[in-house]
Amino acid sequence: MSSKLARLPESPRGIDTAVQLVAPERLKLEFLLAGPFRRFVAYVLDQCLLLFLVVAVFWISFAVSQGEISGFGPGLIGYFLITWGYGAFCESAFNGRTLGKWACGLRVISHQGNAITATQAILRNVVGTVDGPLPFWFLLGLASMISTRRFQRIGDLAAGTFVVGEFRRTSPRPLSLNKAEFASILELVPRRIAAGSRLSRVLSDYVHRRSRFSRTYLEEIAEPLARPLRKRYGLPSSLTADQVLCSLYLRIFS
Amino acid sequence: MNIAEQIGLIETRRRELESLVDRLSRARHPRTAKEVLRLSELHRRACADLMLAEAYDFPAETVENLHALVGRSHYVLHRGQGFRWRELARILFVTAPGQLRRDPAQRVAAVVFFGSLLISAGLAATQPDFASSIAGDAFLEQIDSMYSQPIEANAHRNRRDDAAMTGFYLQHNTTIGLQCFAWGVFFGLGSLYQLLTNGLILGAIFGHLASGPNAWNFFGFITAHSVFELSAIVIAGGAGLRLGWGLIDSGQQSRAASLRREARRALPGLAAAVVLFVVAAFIEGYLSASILPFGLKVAVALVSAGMLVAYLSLGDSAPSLRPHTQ
Repeated sequence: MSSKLARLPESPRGIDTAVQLVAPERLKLEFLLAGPFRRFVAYVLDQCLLLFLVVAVFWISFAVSQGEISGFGPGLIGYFLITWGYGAFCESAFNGRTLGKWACGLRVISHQGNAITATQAILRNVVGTVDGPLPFWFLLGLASMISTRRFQRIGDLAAGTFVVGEFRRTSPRPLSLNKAEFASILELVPRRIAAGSRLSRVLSDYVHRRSRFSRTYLEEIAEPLARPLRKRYGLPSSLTADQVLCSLYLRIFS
Repeated sequence: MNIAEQIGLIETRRRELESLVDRLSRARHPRTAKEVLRLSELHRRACADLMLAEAYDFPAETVENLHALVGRSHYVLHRGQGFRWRELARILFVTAPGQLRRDPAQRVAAVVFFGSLLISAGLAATQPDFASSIAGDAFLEQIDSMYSQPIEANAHRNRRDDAAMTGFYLQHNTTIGLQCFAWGVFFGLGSLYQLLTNGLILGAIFGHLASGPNAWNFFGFITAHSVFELSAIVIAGGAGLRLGWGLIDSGQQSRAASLRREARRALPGLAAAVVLFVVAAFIEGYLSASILPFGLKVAVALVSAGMLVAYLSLGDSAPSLRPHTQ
């Protein structure tokens, strides 16, 4: 059991479907990959929009030609442009998003992490038609997505792109720590603490998440760390584990 | 300076960069030089902050926020160029003709398509059963009845609509061309299949009608647009073969990288093919079926052939397209 736990990846990101790219400025960029099922929703949305557009184009075309059969001409040209050009146009004009992708918070980016170029947008959509209903009823696209690390369709592979999910981080939550509450305890804590970076990080992680747990559970989590800390800084055992960690956090971070 | 002060500084810088990125990532936001300079300055600072925060195990929240922000500002700095008409013109009139001229894949496509077309036409003309075994009896009967009358008679009797037919040809033929290219991703086999089947069927129809009693009705219809349409199929197929060749001969690169590179190289040819398909559709819709004299249609075919040759002589003479010479 313990050996199994030890082999777990240290970073919580390790098990996510994330990809890390290193930019020229030695900067690690992290992207969350979008899997087939998130993308399928965007695909269906886009197909609905395409259907609507095609109907609209034929309707306008026939309205202009007053119901004559020549209305088919511009209608079919519009149909051609919409079916083959919609994805390529949207993805190059709106920085890698069609309307469906925008609605689902997805974006196509180049395999090096840059925005995609018009060439890539055209390629991934034209070559990507083999992923669709023709010739193999989506199976090819699905198989290709499952067998590549970045969930790439064949169109993505040819164009050198992949699809990422975009999410905006919320600004940091305000701390639920009332300094006055710990004033008396802080008297007992030494003025200077030689806390290493690892301890400070653990303390800050704890304090930022403590509002999510019940009091008894907090004690259970905090006690293993609080016990050696009480001993090291000579704190009375009457203090709860939560109080120990919070006061040490306050001493280090404020 | 203790950790808390350090984090406070990072946090104020992060806020400023975040609001700047928010403003600059709006598509229609006018960018001032001052803002752009400040963005690059703050971006570099944020990268440094991120490295510092990771190296010294700063709180996870600070690190994650910096990660997300730096990703977004990187994206604003390296934003997509979008679509440019000038670039398209350069690809169509400089890159494409040069590549088409030199690309061995185009020659293979031409040999496969025209070879199968000629052989099939010859067999269909000499052996009565061949055409029906390739194209099917029902289809041949339909074709026969289509060309049983001279174009002049047809134009008066059926109300054939030029605009509608143009739209149909454009949608139908260009879709075949684009599919012919896209299916090339199966190691070029999809493109070969399309070139071969299109060549065989067209050849069978050609041989069947040309050896039959309605030959001149048929020639009257196909002459004007044939040059552009047939060469468009070959060029689209050749581009597809190039795409597939990227998977077969990857040279020194990984197969994925080789596919990416060849796909990018195949695109100018495909663009030229699409333009040819569109022009051919308009000629086919408005000219081929018109009652204009046959001589004029031959002239159109000759002029378009001349234009095609002139087009293929455009462009630079860069090194050949063999994958090993990068």
